[in-house]
Amino acid sequence: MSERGQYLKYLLGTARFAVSRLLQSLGLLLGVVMVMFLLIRMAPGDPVQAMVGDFPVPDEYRDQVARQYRLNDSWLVQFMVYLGHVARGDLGYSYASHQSVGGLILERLPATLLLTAAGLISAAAMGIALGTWSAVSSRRSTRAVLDMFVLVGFSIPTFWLGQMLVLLFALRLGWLPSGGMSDARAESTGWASLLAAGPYLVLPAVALGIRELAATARIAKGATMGVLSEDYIVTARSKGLSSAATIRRHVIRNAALPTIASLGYRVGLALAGAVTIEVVFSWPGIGRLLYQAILARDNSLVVGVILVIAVLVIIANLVTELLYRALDPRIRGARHVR
Amino acid sequence: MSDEASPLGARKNRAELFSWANTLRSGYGLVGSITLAILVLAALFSPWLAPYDPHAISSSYLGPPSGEHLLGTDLVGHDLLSQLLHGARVTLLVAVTAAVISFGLGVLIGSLAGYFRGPVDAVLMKVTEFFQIIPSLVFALILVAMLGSHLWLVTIAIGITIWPQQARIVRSQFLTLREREFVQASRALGFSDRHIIFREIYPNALGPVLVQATLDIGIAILLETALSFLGLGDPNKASWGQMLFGAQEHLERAWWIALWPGVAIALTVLAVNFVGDALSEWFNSRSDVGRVSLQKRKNVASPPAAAPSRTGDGTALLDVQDLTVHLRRGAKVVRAVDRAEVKVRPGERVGLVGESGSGKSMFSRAVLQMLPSANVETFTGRIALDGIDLMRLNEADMRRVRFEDLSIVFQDAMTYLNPTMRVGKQITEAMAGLSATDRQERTRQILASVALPTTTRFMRRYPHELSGGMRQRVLIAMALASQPKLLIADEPTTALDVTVQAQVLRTLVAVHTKTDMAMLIITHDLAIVAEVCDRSFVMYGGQIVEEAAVSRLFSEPRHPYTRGLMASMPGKSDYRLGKRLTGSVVDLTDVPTGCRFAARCELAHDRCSTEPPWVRIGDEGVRCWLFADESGPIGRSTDKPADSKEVTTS
Repeated sequence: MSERGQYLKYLLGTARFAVSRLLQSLGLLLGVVMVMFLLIRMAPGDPVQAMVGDFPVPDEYRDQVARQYRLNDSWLVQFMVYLGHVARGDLGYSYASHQSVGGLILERLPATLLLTAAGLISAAAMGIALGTWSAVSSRRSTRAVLDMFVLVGFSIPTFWLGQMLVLLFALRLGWLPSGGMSDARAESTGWASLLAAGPYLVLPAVALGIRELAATARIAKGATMGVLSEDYIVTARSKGLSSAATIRRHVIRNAALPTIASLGYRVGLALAGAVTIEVVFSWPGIGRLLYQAILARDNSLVVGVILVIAVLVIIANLVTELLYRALDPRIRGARHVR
Repeated sequence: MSDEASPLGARKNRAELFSWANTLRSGYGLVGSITLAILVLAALFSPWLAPYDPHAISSSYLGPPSGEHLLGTDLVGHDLLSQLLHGARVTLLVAVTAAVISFGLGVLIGSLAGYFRGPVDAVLMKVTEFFQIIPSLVFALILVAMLGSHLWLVTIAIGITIWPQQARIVRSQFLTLREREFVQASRALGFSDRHIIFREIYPNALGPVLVQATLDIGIAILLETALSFLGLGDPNKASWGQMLFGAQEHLERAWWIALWPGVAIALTVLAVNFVGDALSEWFNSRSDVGRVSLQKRKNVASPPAAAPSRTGDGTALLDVQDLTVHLRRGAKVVRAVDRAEVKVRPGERVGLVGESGSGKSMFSRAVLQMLPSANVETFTGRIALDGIDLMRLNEADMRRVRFEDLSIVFQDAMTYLNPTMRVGKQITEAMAGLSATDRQERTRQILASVALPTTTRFMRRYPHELSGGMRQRVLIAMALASQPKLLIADEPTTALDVTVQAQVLRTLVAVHTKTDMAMLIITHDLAIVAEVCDRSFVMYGGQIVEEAAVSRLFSEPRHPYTRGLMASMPGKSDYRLGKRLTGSVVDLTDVPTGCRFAARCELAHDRCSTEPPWVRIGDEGVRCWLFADESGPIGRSTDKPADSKEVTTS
């Protein structure tokens, strides 16, 4: 078979894999919607009130909601109707802010994506570097220092770290803004606004990233230690490669694979961390929206945000798996060799 | 590495700088346990320890730390120290209860999945996936948001969101332990499932489960904190998280409100993690053994430096004298190689034969200066390659030797090839100082010489895409790439099918005849020695017991062990020279003081309780008392052990 033929076959295999994973993810998402539906129905009080939250609701609205969601029919019908709404992207109406839940979330989503991506990507890059470095280091104390850092990173509440950063760098030293995403006086749009958000992004991204850094460093260290005990490292050394060349050519790629595989899962945790971080830094993302929705007992908004988080995590997992496939020739090749 | 290049002084300083970390590392468990013990006591005795009633309102609200209020006061005027001490009760209660719930659910569901497998297991894995999509914090958050903020509800919400990790651990313990021999054995003996689960599986799963249960306490504390911070804590129960809830608004005016509870939380969780980490280290205390360090081996005892760099009789390419390698394995010392003498002349094909566990692989590692440095107890002797003593080279020079003069072919080509690097590149990177096109050309030549395709497409293959024989040839090609003076082949064909073995052997011989390199073939298979080698050494219990030309070795083996090996060859059971070997290889961690083969030797006699001498016979040699006298070789007739008695008395 020609190179091109193999490549086509690889693409085909990847597409098939992507579709099957997508279907599985949809199944999981269905499960998530079902749990959310049940939770709303299990909430104390009548279903309309549970959806709307603690607001006095006029009777006309109550009737409208009951009709729209077929609340007088059986649970199964109710669920199917609810599912239909969700599938069409209709996450309901936030009675508290008089706006559709979908619109509210969409408005706030970019800020969260920016914060999470900045925190997670920089943390993952540094974590891989730190973990690999400590694993290949000859000194036990290097590994001990990293272990210590990892444990400390896992022990500090994310949002509290954010508060302490604000105290020190914003309030005491005045180096960075203490919250928000932009200067209210300077209006900017598009890429300029992204650039302007830079200084505002630093502290929340660091606060969010520390835990992810610790986690990635730990995984990278473990993976590297594992690779170092592999036989092919002995081969590389027996060829007369220097330690640096061995690490560069033989260790890093193989050790990065499990670390990358874990990143999809980290996205969910980072998003959870973003909820509290956004509150600390008044970051206008879906995390803060969730917080406000909880305080306002705006349940349809709470459920909406959680569904969006679930979708984000599923996408992240899918992307990670595809990336992993592209990086690991064993999986890539598995289709066309026996 | 960069730190190899840096001056020694700087390295030492840096090492000292971080030495505290090592000390602390070994004391994690102690530090963590003591901290936790103090904390629990403080929580228990908080009514007596707290200077004020936690609900008492003093006149100074938002008061900074002072003599009156050591940690300051909060918005309402509560004394923070008193609140902190009482909050410890709530926080610890929630955390421990949630961890217990998680433990119970995790062990129960993990056991069900591990025991029943099939659909139950599939459902569990789906549920675990669900929790990966909805992170614990988010799920606990919606539970509490929907159902209400009571302390018990918060606790349950935390418990039922963190159990999947524990369940996965229990499940995997079930799945792996089920297959282990002792569980299989219990089953074969007719023990009931209940017996197997409670007597075999649970005690073995205890380690990881206990570690996770400990870590769960920390996770629960952090979750409770985050929930409270988001306003979902029980407003009537002042946990540490609840204390932080109010702090956000007053960060600018009263930093102390946020500081103390956070410090308390971080320290507590850190202590819990310390204990968890120490437990896990304790349970896998042997996980770090055997790692080959990338750094220079430790020179445990270098030979006297007085000797000139070029010595020896000048005829030997590889001249190993008095090589001793002892390795630590746990508390024991493995005497892998003891005072070995091996010579290989230029262009020669030499065998090194012995059963597995005779120390021959450690011999090859020692020649390459690639012992697992962390475990080396003793490493002495002289290893001269082309007159240069490898024992005295620094790592950079030794690397040059490996790069240019010395190559090795390992046994298992699958694991000794990098799975994510194209085979062409793995061969090319072993070449020195050529331009890119020259390397390509040279790679093609080498591939041709080991009977592999020379196409670009082949070079772009990954190891897993090749057959076992092809992989072994790639390893050989890699070893040949540097045109070495000496090629060590360590069990080069053991992992292959018999038919492929012959092909690979023929390739090795063909390559050898075209070049003038010498080969040292390490094997347990006498047939390979007979087919390929000119001369051979026989190794037993870490010692060289016989050296002979191959023709003589087969026609007239001297050492009783060699004879036993011959007799043990398939189809040679009635070999005239001896009986098959019985018993097993001598334990290298516990070698006898006398002859190491004596326990398995038919001809053993009382002299064998002292160490036999190395008897030189012309160009050959044997380590056996039977040849220690001038009467010459005797005992050819093994059916007359009386002969050996005579030798003793003479």
